[in-house]
Amino acid sequence: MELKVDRLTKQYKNKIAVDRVSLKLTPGIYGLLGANGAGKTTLMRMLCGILTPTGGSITLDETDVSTEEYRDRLGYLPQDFGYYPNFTGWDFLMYLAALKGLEKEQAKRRCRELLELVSLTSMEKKKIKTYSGGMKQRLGIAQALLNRPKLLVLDEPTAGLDPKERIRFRKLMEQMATDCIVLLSTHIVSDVEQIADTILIMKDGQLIYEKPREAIQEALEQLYMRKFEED
Amino acid sequence: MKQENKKRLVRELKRIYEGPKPVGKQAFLAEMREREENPLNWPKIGRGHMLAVQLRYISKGVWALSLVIFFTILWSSRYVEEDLRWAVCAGIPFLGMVMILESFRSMACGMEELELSCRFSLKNVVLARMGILGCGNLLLLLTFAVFMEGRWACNVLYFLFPYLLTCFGCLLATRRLRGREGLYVCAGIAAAVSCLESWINNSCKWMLEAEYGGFWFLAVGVILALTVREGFHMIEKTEELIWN
Repeated sequence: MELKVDRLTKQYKNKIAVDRVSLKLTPGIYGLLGANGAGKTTLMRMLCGILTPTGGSITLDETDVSTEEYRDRLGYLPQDFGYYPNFTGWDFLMYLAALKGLEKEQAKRRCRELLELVSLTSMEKKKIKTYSGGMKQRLGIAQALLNRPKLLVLDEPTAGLDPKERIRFRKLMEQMATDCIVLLSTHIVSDVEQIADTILIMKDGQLIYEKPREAIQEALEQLYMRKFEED
Repeated sequence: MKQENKKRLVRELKRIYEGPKPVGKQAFLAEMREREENPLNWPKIGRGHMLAVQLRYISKGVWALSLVIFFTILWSSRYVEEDLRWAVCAGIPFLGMVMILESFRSMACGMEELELSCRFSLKNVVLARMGILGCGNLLLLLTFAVFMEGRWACNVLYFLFPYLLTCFGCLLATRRLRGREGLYVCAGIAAAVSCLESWINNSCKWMLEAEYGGFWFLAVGVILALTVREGFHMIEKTEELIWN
């Protein structure tokens, strides 16, 4: 399984948000680092097919990003997401399971499984507006896993999670990565340091660094700061 | 006693008749596990089923509001000197407004990014909602048209004009404004069209004579074309996130 990104570009008026990024991703965890405005979220949105690139292409095992088949294998957690006002946690997952094409009984089993995985079983019948930020984030992680995706794109997945939940999240990602491409962006360098197989660093829309974690001799935070000082 | 006899009977039957040995149990369990773990083998729903799902998720408030508008139209027609037409033309814009606001609820609630990334993406959701609510409203319009005095075809044209005019205005507003601002502007548009219709039905009754049927046909044609064009623009907007 391979995600091919070829000279991907997103330009808006006189700003280039993503500048000719090329990648080949295979199953494993990829940590995407970069300052605010580096283009991480724009890149991720294009990988999920929700922003149309200005140039370049994205394919997952030769399936183009704009197709239903691509989205069928995709799981996405945006940086910020909303919910319909009267939805409970259960309603939210069942609604998205239906949009992901899961049949009702399958959806029920999967929702129960995921709510247990993210420790929200006791909250499933409560309205999302009563959830704390961390609970909402865990619900978001659960919805990204509904269709057992082969490509999992997570934008700031650990924001709002307490340390115990962050450790559980890392363990979950390690399990997923055996047969799934996991791309996660974060400002929390330690999250990426612990679990990522490959580190990607973006700056001003360009991919300035791409190396396996084991090839990095220094602490990741030092490398990150050095890369930003270099230019 | 009966329970004890039943239990004894079951025990004896088990002793006398040995059950068949399971055949292929491990293979069956492995197949079930593989099916569960490989999403490509999961039964998937089709577009028809997705439409039924969207029907369930349309707010109950929207259906309730549509019924309130319907019964308000019926009730108010009893107090108007003329026939049902005035009440319908004044009330219909609010049905149009409710349909447009509900169809694009994803944007108002911040769900569009999640829905855009699903197999049945936001475009499918919006089209499903517009289709369901549009058909419901059309049924109401036709019901009023059939039970009113005058020619059925002319009545349909009189009702379609304010309905489509409101839909066009609300689509324009929803494309440019988000959240509460869009809601208030749409409510304003519906109220304005309602007032226009009240004025036409009270002060310009001559426009509703049969000889002006051609004018209404043309007016409805033009507003329908504009509404469809604006609808296409909105659907295009649902195909990708608007990047800021």
